Amino acid sequence: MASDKSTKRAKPFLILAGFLVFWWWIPAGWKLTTRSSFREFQAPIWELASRAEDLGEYWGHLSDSKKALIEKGRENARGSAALEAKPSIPQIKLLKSEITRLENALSVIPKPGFQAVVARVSRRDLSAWWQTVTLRKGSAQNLTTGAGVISANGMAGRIREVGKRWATVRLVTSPQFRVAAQFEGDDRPVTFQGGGIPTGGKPFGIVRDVPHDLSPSDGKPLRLLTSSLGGTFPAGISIGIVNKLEGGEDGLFKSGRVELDELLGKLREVTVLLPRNDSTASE
Amino acid sequence: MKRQNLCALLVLASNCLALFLLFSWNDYWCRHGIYFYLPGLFFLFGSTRLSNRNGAIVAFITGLLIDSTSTSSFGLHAFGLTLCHLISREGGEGMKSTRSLRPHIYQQFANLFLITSVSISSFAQSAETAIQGLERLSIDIIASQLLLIPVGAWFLAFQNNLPQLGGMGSVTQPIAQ
Repeated sequence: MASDKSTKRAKPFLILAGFLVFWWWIPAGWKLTTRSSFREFQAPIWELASRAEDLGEYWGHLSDSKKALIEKGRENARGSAALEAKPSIPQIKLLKSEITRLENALSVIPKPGFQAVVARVSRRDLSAWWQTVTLRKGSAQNLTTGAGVISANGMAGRIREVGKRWATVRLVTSPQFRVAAQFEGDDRPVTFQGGGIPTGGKPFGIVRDVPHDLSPSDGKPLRLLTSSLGGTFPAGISIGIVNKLEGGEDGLFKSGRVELDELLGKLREVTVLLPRNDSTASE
Repeated sequence: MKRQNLCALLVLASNCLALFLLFSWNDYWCRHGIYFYLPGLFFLFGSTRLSNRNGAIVAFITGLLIDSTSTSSFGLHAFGLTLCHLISREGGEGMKSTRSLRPHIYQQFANLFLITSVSISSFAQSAETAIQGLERLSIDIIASQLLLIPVGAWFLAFQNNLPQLGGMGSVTQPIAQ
C-alpha cells in the first residue's frame, strides 16, 4: 500500500527524467529553431517598448525652449569645428585619396572593407552570467552572425544570434568574448578577453600574450586597439586602456586588466560592421 | 475552452507580463552593475492552483521563454522550473496560502537552485573569468534573493486575483485534484 503511494508520487519525477533524456537526444537544429521561435515571439514586444521610449524622449525634446535649442546647436557646431580642426582628419583624407590613386594606377584589387549599419539597442541584459544587448535590426537588414559591433567610444561586441528583425550582441565585457588585438604603436598581436561588469558599472577585460618589452609607464597607459587579424573588425578601433601588466603564468608573456568604456552598460545605438562583398566593394 | 485551460493560459500570460517587467527593471539597473535574477517567481502559483499537467506545462513554457533570452543551455530553466513545480506539489496544504511562510521559503530555495544551475553552466563555459566575477556574482545573488521576498509575495497575490479580474471567481481552492 505504502509502496503504491510512493510509486504514484515518484511517477511525475520519472516522467520528467525520461523527458530530460529525450530532450538530450533531440537534434540541435530542432532546439535552435524552437529557441529562435521563442525569440521571434518576444521581439515585437521589445521593439515596441524601445520605440515607446524613443517617442517619449522625442516628445520630451519637443518641449525644449528656443534658448535650449540654440544652446544645443552651438554645442554641436563647436564639436564639429573641433573635429575638423584636428590635424589628423585632413591628413587621413589625403592619405585615403593617395591610396585610391595608387590602387587605380597599379590595378590592385582594393582590400575588402566594411559596410556600416546603424542600429538602436532595444534591450540590455548585463548580468554576472551573461552580457548581451538586443538590437532592433536583424536579417531583414542583412545582419549576420559574427559581425563586429562598435559604439561611439570603440569596440562593443560581436553579433551572436540574428532573427528577422532582431539581433543579439555578445558584449565585449562578456567572458566568452575573445578577439585578436594590438597595442597602439605596436603591430604584434595579443589576445583580448572580456572580464565582466563589476557592481558600480565599470567594465573590464583581460589582455594576454603581451610581449615582455611592452609595459605602461606611470601616467602613460597603453591603449589597446583592434587588429585586422580576426577579420571581424578593422584595425585601430579602441578597445580600452591598460594601466598595469604582470608576468603571465607561462613566464613568456605578460597579461593585464583592460579598463573598458563605462558607457558599454548604457548603450543606446551601435554600428554593425558587415564585411563588404565584391559587388559592394566595387561600387 | 475548459476552465482549467483558461486558468493555465491566464497564469502563463501573467508570467509573460512579469518577465517583461523584470527585464525592463533589469534594463535600468544593469547600468549600475546589478542584475535581479528571479526565475523562482514562475512556478509556485501553477503548482498550487493548477492541475499537475497544466502547471508543469506552464512552468516548462515559461522556462523556455527565459532560456531563449539567456545564453545558458536551452532547456535549463524549462527543466529547472518544472522540477521546482513537481517538488512544490509535495509541499502540502500550507503551500496554498499566499500569506504563510512556506511558499516563500520554497520560492527562495527554487531561485537559489536555478541560480546555482546557471552559475555552474556559466562556470563551465569560462572558468577563469567566472572566478574573477565572484564579487559581482555574490552581489547579484543577494540582491535577487532580497528582491524575491516582496516581489514573490506581490506576484502570488496578483496571480491569485487574476481569474477574478476575468470574471471567473476565485481559484484559491485547487482546481484539479
